[in-house]
Amino acid sequence: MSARSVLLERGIILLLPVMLGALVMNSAYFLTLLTFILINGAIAMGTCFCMGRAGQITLAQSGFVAIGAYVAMLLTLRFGMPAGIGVVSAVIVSGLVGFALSLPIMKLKGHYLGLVTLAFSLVVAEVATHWTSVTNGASGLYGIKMPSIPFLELNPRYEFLLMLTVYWFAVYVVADNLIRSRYGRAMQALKYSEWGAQSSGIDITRVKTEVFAISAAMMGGAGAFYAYFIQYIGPESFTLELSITVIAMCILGGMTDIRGALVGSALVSVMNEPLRAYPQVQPLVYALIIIVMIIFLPKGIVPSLVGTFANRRKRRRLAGAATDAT
Amino acid sequence: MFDFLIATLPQLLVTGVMIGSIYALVALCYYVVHAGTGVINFAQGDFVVIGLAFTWLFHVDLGLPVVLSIPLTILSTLACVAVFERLAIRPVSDRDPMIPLLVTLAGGILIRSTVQLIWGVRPRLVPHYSGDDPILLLDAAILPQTLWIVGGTIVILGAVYVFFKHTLFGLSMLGAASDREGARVIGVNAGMIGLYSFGLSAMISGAAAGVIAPVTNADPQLGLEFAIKGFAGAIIGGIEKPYAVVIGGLMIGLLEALIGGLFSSEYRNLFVFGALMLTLIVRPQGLFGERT
Amino acid sequence: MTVNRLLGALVATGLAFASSAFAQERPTIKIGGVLPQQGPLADSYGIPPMQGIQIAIDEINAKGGIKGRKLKPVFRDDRTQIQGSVAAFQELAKNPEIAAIFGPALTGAAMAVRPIIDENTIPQFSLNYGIGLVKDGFTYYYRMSPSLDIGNTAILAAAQKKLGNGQKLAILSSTDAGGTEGAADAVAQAPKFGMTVVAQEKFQYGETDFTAQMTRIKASGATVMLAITQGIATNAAVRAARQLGILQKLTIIGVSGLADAQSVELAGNLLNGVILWDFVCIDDPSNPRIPPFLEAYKAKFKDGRVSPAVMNAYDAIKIIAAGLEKVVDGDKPIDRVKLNAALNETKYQGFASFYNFTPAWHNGPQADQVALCTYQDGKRLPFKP
Repeated sequence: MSARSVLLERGIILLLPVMLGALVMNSAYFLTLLTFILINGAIAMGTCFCMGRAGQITLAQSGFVAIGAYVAMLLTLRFGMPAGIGVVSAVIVSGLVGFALSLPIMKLKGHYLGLVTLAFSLVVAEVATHWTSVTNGASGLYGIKMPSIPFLELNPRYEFLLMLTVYWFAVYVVADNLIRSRYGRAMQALKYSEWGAQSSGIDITRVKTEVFAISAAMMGGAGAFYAYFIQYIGPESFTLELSITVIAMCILGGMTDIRGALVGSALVSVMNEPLRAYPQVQPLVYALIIIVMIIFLPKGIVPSLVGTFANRRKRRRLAGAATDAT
Repeated sequence: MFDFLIATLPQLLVTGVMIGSIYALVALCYYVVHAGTGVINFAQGDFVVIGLAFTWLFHVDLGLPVVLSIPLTILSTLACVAVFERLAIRPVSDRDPMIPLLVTLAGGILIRSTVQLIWGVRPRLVPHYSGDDPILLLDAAILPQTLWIVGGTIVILGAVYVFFKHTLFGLSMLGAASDREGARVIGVNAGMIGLYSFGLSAMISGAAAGVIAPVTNADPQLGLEFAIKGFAGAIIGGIEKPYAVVIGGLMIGLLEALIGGLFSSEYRNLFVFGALMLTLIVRPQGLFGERT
Repeated sequence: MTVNRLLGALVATGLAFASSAFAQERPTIKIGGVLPQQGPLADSYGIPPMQGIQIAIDEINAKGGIKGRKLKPVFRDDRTQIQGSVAAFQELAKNPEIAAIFGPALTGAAMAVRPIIDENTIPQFSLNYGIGLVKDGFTYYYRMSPSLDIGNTAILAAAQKKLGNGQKLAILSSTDAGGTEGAADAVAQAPKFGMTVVAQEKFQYGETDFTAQMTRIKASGATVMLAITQGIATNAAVRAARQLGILQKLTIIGVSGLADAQSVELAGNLLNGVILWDFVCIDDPSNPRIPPFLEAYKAKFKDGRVSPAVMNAYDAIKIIAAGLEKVVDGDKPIDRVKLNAALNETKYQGFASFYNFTPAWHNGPQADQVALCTYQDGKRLPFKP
């Protein structure tokens, strides 16, 4: 893609939440929905980055989101740190934990890797429940105010949305840049064949641990925003269901394209809402979506759309070339 | 603490063996499915829940005696799982093993929600088959239902053993397990192997549900707990070998009982999940598995 | 000509009827309900309150509603999860047609939604007994249940009166916010009633095997066990106690969940003799309000099981309705701040407790109003120590 079209696309993506948010500024309900879409989107981007582009399975979403949320909450609640520091610390700490976790599990492949990340999420939830001196155990942590932009005097929820948009967009740009770079090609090689990648000189150890750490950092930052938004976190906020929901978003939107995370998170969050009135059916629908998508549209929405457009262009080009030749 | 240990050890062991038997059966189901298809079936716990619902239906609602209700439960569970396998698993079975795993995770949620929609969320009482007066033996109070569970486990394990070693189906499954590609080459029908594996795990789940229902109550929300603990047992034992998963399940049950009894029940899950994580990192083939 | 005039008269009469029919269609007053319809608390603290709310609203509407305006419930399922509660409260609190919200069931969720109800100045009623809920202010939050510390006082006093001083107390509670705070409070209060705490055991919602906890309680030599449990947990606890042979030796005291409908269904007469505080002793023969209520319940919910939570929710709606009567103004949406002011003057006789809310007290019934009950052969009767 040309540099100009990339810039255009990014501009649109950046402006979307800003404009949508302004449109619905009078409805706290829709602002909340939009906020959740962005938070989920950041977690989904981390997941797609790790799973879709580098082939490293992860069910650790709830674990890293929890770590980010607790770090940010504790810094602001106990030490009075402003939200900016909270978010940055959450990103760093989650990234470091991700890095530390990835070192011993590098050699695992396929579903074993996924299973370790699953166990990791479970352990994090247990620690959150029982390390009462730090996390206040099952009672959870609360008592902070939603952060706001100091010089602006807009609707506070909209201001929060703007801050979140900055983070969300940053995650997108970082992920996208990495994917487009030589690093991204290394990730791709890693995904298709570890031996192949290694034999062509890529340091797969480094790539694997870095990818995992970066995705963990992205999720941790999202966790921090979650904490600042709901203003209450407890071990019950970060369950296996969160990880599964995020994976559903990636599967729906398309794991191999980072924009799939954006589409998937929007669709799933929106789909959730009318279902709230039919609660018995809600998990059923989620599960059906995952299964149906995996069977019929395994690439997900965005890659499939991109694929059909690309095919059409190719066909037209070929047809054009054919007519030229005659 | 040592005196406490001596005094309560018999009781804790009884509890541990009972819970361990439940986990061992679930772990065995993981082995069966993994051996046949390479898939880790996270809907496993919900297969047991299907069995619990049918147990209640046949034994409590329809009032059938146990000798009838357990076989009927087994068959009904088998039927439900067969449908699930054909619709959801078969279409994705030739993909990267992570995909079917996600499908089973989603499938478990699907089964759980469907059961709750049809049946409700309330756990329902299933009366103990032989009453609930405890039998006292060496300082431990043993519920008669515990004997049903342990006995049932032994019977099920025996049946599965005979199946694997002495029937053509079983032998070809074992063969397919140790070399899936090779099995396909010599003509073992890969499509049917999936059905048979899931089917066998369904039958085990149904039988297990039949004997544990009075103790756990017919509770549709137990699916995830069974799935994770049974899975822990399978991994820690070593998912490549049938006896290993059973021992693994038993060990998890004993670990839970001992930690709960000696320290605090608060930390039971933490230890089990921590042990799981440690095993996956340090020795992914499990205690009895061989390095691949 | 006569035909035309006749037609014209008919049309005019028709229009008159139509417009009067439309005129009677006044805007409803909505009351929100955020309760679990799934998850471990659905059966004890989700569905019963929904039923109670429905009965109260139908009763009020049958008598003409609030000055001609009907009440309408708007239910949302939070699936016993905090995020679900928060989202549901966001949605309902922002809807100006909703005058007040009932729920949620989890203490943790009730804490999480506090900023929302404060921001939207909407009154909230719940059955949570978590102590922390009134610690940092409670402008718009009203508790219908006895707070756990008040409940503890009542039940520990009852145990002391029945058994005398010097009892050894074991405490069994869940790992969530409500359970943890309740246990800590009991530990603090126990000495006041001449008891020593010899065991503290925890469990997680959904656990069905309590032999580990009971083994330790047995070894501690406890004579009294305070069970902060509901439904599934109560059943598991008493069965384990029976299995270990200590059921007859322990005096079991506890919260309303010790003999809720689910506990009774699962454990039956194993619960004989337990002493609990509750919203109302549901089989109290001397309470005249109960039989007509039971009839109304059976008529509506044939397969349901009445539990005190049903009645407590009913009381809540009645209190809200009393407040609404004072502030309803024509067809306008209800002014929430005015409603809150009216609620701050509540004097209402519930099924078993008298509720006297003031700006300084939203904490449920006072200690002397807490109903003490005991379970015997299928009946929950008043307890007299």
